[in-house]
Amino acid sequence: MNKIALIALMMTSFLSASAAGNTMEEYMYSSGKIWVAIAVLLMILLLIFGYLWKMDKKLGKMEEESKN
Amino acid sequence: MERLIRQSWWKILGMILLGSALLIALQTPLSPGILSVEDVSVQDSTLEFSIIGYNSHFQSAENLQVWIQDKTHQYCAESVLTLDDSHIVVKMALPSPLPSNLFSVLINDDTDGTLASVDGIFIKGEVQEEAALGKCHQPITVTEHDSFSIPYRTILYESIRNLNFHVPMWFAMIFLTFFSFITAIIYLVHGKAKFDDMTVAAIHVAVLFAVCGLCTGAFWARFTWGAFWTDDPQLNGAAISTLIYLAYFMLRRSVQDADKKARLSAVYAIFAFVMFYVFVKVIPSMADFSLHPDTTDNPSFKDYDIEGKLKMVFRAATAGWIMLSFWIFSLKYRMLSIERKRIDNE
Repeated sequence: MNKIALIALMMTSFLSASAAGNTMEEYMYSSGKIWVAIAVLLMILLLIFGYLWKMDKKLGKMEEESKN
Repeated sequence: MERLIRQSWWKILGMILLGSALLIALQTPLSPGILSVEDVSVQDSTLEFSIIGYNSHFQSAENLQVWIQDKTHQYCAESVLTLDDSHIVVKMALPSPLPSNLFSVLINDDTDGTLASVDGIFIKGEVQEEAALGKCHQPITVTEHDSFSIPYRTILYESIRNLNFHVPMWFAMIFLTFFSFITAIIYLVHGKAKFDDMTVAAIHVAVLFAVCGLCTGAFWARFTWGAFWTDDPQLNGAAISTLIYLAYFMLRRSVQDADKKARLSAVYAIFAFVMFYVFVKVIPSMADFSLHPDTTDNPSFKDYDIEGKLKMVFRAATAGWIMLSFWIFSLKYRMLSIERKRIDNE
């Protein structure tokens, strides 16, 4: 649960940084908004990897339990 | 179903589809377009303005032709000074008398095809609607840009590529929730525990993709609509549906008896899918206002994509994302069934 909270915190800080800081926002608008597309793809990959990470841990716990 | 889940051909196919679609979606250039029309000035009876192009080839292209037009009149440029591939300065006689104040600016050349900036130029002055037809020395040619490229749209620009990332998240969610709808019905009919596990796994992964869709949608909206969250009915409908599906897990946790839990949550899953459809499809199509394409009167992305260049990439990406979501679902389902076997043995 802590890891999800950490990822959520990272995401929100990233979003709020882009909302508050002008340089970040200008960066997103530059090069024909290509960074918006890249950020969106990275966001999806990050969320899916986070989900797989959580699943991995759960599987590890199940392995431990089946040993006992 | 059990056999399909263990087969690997669709996983490989899905990864090939997704990988190639993402590669094409990221590396295909945008079609050329007009970024802006600037420095409009009127001196005596000469109109002067400069045009900034995007991905255009003003310098290297041949037969460059520039004109402005309203609904019925066309006026051609007299001199075009090319500064570089994306910058030209245009001089022309001021239409006199003016048929309207707003004109579209169009460029045609052999490399880029016809580029348009709709209502791109505003000329001050008194309007006489029955003005004489404009004059063009050469006949105007309109051509299509024929190389493989992604449609150029103002406001969206390169972020139009998100069509292959953000939209398939919802298609994957619709696929998994529809799957859960079917398995929930089968569970209620047959009462086999494995269908309950399938429903749980499908909804679990569907919520992951819904969260992906919401996050990416909010981010994309920030840089195209101007805010992370808007009044858009489809956006709020999707958010409510995500909450409905989150409540599914709350319901499961709150019921102790295993059999009762499975039956109650199966009924809820059926209800949730119907609500999901109503919130995401029915209500947005009846709303007066929407920002999403293809709802109410908004044009769909299909309308921008005259030659269907986007369509093939989008279909491959959607199929790939759906197969990835089904793969993750199958892992989740296998974990749940192992756990169920262990509990049954104890």
